[in-house]
Amino acid sequence: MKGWRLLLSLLLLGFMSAAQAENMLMARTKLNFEQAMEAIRQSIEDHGYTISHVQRCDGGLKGFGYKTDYYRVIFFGKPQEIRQLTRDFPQMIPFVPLKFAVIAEEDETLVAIFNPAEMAAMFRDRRLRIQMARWKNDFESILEVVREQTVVMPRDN
Amino acid sequence: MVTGKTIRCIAVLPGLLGLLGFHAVAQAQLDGEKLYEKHCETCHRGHGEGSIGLPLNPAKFKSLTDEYLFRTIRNGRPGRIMPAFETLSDAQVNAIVGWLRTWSQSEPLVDSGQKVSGNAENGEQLFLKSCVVCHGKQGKGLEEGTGVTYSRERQFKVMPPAIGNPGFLASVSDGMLKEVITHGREGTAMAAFSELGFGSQDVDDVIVYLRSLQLTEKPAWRHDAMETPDPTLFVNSPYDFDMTVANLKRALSGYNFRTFPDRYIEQGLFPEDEINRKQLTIRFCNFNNLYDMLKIEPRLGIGLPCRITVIERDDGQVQLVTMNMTMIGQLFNNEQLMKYAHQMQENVIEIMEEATL
Repeated sequence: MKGWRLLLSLLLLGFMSAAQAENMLMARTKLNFEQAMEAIRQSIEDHGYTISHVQRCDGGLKGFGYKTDYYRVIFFGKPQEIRQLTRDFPQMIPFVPLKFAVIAEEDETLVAIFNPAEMAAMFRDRRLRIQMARWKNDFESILEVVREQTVVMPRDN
Repeated sequence: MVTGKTIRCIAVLPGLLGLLGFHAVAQAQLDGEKLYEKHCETCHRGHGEGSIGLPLNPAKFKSLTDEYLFRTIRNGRPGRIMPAFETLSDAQVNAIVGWLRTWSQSEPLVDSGQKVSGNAENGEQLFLKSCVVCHGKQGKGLEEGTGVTYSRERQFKVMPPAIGNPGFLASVSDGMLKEVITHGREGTAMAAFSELGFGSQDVDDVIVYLRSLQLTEKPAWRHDAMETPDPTLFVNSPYDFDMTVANLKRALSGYNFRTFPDRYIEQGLFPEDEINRKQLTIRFCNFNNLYDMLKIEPRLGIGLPCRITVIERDDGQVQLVTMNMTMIGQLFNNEQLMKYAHQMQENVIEIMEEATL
């Protein structure tokens, strides 16, 4: 059992180092902003994460008289994971909850997040590096769903 | 303890990784379009209309060599957002170049590989007279960021490229530079030197000047960040939790920051009565700076808002915690943004020191 765990860890770290070219993970979608927000919300939740809140950056900018398109930041995480991380690794506190920026660009929408594989290089702890490799796989999958989605059906809840 | 099972697991690892690697390369050779969608579309848009990255205007493809496109993907643009795609295989990069070529009927520029010679001093004078307005001092680009302008107002609809950038200069041949400078760029504001009355030697002089800008050492903005190599900054507070929070808010208001409502890290993740109330994040913003920074880096939101968290450890020590902006800022690969990051970092350190005096 331990052997397989070690193998999985090595595999995750292997993928992580193989992906170190891109500092950010991003997706562009032809969905308009509202639909894209719904798509990213659904995809985050479908991957087992909880959205803690959404910050409206465009609201503050407009309040100061600046012209800007829709701009939101979605904060999210797995509750127990975030609690454990901030307890065991206080150096992670500035980086949680995790966050996607959602940026309107005319009739398209761009979604971006730091590539955890790149951030992992800044943290020496092996457990953190493995955690970030997991995040990287999850974020890529979340973005892939958004990238592929052409229609968003509102969820009943 | 290493067991027989562990050894067997490790033994199959190279084969497994080799298989995965082979599969990845085979897939890449098949589909340049898919690779473009994954690695390029977010910044250049689906048909090269441009966004954070410059438009990939098919009308100008005839003035580009395939080698230039290949090297551009490989080298990126250090300090100008575009990353160096070092981990893509040659086959994958060629597949992307091949996909781009399907957008245009024109044949790629074929370059003889000949180097030009000339007078760099005259080239500099010509550059200052005719090029600096769009391409910036030493070809570093203008101070308002890259790519296409959308909702946030900038001087140009399409920001001119940084032709003194080391990634550009490492990608472009003298022959291609000569072609572009002599004939200009169709569909862009780039005028033909031949029409402006400059001769062939003048063009060579400008090229020799541009070559003189090619940097060999690591850019200074990356050096600076490494002086504090930890991604997180901690400052101990001699005060209790509530007093530290109050001090911090007072210090922030003195630096012209607007603070947002308090927020616990666990808020929204746990029920209200289960939240750890000894991890309070104070979020703040200067909207004037934010607007200027978003013009330079539209993806800045992934690092927003500016925040300092007040925590109380199990041993009762209260600490202020924040990210090392000059280190994390490097992930944006954006030299202009780093100037703001350095300033913000200085301010935040002063604020944390003031709050814990």
